[in-house]
Amino acid sequence: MTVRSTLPALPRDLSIYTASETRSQWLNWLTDGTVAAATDAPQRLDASQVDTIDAAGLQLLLAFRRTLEARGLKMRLEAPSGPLREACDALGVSDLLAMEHPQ
Amino acid sequence: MSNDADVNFISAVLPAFISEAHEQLETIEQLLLQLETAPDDRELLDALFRCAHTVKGSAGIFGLDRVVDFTHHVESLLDRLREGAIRLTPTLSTLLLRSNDRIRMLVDTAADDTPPEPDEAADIAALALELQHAGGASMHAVAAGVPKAAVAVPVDSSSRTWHVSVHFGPETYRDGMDPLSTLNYLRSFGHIVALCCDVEAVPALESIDPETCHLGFKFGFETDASRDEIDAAFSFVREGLVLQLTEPGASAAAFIELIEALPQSARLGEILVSVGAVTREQLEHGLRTQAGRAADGSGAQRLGDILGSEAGLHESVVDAALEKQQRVREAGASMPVDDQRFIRVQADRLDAVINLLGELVTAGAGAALLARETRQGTLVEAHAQIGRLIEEIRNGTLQLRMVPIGETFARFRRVVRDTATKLGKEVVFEIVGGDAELDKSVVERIADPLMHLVRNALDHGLETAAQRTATGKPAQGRLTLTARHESGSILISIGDDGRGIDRPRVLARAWERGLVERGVTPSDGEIDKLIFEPGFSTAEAITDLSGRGVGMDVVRRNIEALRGSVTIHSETGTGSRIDIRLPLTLAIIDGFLVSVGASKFIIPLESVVEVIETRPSAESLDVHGRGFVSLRGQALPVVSLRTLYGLESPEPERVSVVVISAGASRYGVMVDQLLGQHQTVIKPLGRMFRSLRGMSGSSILGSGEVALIVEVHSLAGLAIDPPAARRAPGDVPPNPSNTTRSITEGQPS
Repeated sequence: MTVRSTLPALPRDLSIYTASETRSQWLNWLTDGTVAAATDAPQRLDASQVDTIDAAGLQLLLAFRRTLEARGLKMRLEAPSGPLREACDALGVSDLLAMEHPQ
Repeated sequence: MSNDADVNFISAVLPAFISEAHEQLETIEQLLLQLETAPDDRELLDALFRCAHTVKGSAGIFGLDRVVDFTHHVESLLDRLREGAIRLTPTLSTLLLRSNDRIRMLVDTAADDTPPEPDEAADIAALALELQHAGGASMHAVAAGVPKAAVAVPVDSSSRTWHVSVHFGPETYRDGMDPLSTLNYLRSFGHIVALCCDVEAVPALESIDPETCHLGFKFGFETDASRDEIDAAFSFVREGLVLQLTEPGASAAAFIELIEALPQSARLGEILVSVGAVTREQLEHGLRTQAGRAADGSGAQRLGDILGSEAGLHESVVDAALEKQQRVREAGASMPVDDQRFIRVQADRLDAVINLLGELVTAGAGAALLARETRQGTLVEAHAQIGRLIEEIRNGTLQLRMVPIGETFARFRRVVRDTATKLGKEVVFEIVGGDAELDKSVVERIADPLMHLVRNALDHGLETAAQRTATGKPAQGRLTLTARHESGSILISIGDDGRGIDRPRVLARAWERGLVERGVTPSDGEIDKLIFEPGFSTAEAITDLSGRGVGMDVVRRNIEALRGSVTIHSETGTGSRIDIRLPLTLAIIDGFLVSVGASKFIIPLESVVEVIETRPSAESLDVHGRGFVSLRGQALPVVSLRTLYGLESPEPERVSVVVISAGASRYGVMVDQLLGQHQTVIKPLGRMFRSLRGMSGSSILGSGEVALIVEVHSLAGLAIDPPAARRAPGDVPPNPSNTTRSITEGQPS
């Protein structure tokens, strides 16, 4: 838990309603060094709080991953919540959750 | 949705949306209620999900954000139910029913642009939160537990695997749609395999417009649904959609076989659509492409080729279709596509036709009368022919308005469920004869009185489980709603096996209210009838269910306004039954025209049994015109319209008695002359005559005269009922409305 609390966290609501906001937040993360500070370790994001997610939210997550990959970085979602895992399954993007997570 | 064309479009089709949404919501309610007894029924759950999806989808098309937002929560919860992630508990069912009500309210106010009241908004938010919690409560359990594949749709052996390639339009999110829901919707009738999201199409975070949809998918879809059914799953996201449905493998041969088996059709596209090789959408798109290419000079292209490239259609299928087309052309035959479909007609257009038909019937009768006066045989015959045709058109048109009463009955399931829960009673609700048909306007207007009677039975009639077991009855009460046709009318009964009418209490109340003189005890049947008197309510504690002032007298008035009647049968300790008799239609009936002096009356033909002749015997009638005649050795109660309504005309030598059957009773009506059958367009009685008993309406005859239409059930009361005046001199006059005596006053005659 102590580790997780230090990670940048995905918002609870990752949907079309918050997509613009979330995008600005993530772009800020990129500039203020919250993520993508000069390191080649995977960028870990706390994904445990996501409770509302739709295709627009997932799409944004894919865009985020693409940006990180463009910088040679990997994205790793830590402890993805049930709704997030399900949405990933339902849209065929389970590779977003590439890591095995102990439950 | 800002420009004028959109606004116009929306205002034009919104009523259709609202009426369709209501149907879907009604279905949702029925499904939820059905699921209460079978909470794991996969088909019902799927159907439930589809209904919610449809409501949300069509609301999205109209940009009704409030409906879309809220329905989305319901849809998500239903999706989880469908997956088996959570189970439909009674609590959840109640929540979903409440949510359904809320959607209904949102739909009703959809056209209204003003923001909702703060209370309402808070209510909606609270309900949405509840839905989220209900859906999320066991979410983690599932995430940790069974892998998703284990709850997948069982795939039928007959199902085929389609290859689906879909790219959603850029406006998808802004239209309120979610590709996630669309894919989940597909999962409700098939199995998605090897789902692959086209992640390359999603731009990077820096350049993405997060509200534009960039998603595309390729997957296999195992289903036994047809191409059109699969295609229909995308109907709400049609704008900008690129969809390719291909059936790989042996499918080309299968299509060719289907094409061979087709009836004659001369158009290539139609052939391909009818066997399901392409969807109608694809055909139309292909035709547009073809037209476009021909127009911009890039060269004409064959439709088959275009469909091949656009819709992934196999070449051999196109060839087979072309061959078939050729053969049809050679045969020179083209058969119309015979498709049995429903047409949605606006009720007011139908009403307008029926009104005109009423005028036509009246005008036709007038013309026939004139023809008879000319005494020209051929003219009379021609008019008789016209009359028969009018009659057929009349029957056919009225048939269009007939709807089964079952839909109305089914709505009461919810009422019974909620009311019984609130009262802490256990009730089994039964519907018998829901397919009996009657006029839509009658159905609409009987719903409220019926609702009141149902609530009343639950509240006052049925006992609690404890009271029931104490008296040796099964703990579960029984409430039965039946409908059946009976001599040109419909009989609707509401029966319960409750405690029956508490006659001592009813009588005490009647004494108290002065409805019956203190100390006088009428017969049981008459005590029962007292509950229909104005201002009568025996509920000691006024509950919020019944006894809210709108009493049984209002119910009776509403039913009588429909030319119907209501009676009650009750047995202490074993239950009550309320019978409502209604005419099948309000508009036009077959009547039997009679006259008394200068006044004309119409008796509904279906209730006329026979006619006998007799000598008038005024002295044997009482002051209200009641008496008896002998019919084959039996005493038949009769009523003289002349005496009853105080018509001032000399008594003829001989009078006719029309024998009428009204439910279980028979009686005679004494009239002067029989004028024969008459198609009767019913007009309501004027305000002056509303309280007139025994008559239900008026009609204008071909000659311009006005005839009154007899209401056989209430007239039965005037003919048969032993008048209270004979029994106890101090009694309340039985027919206060008889003060309206001279009914012919002011009539053109």
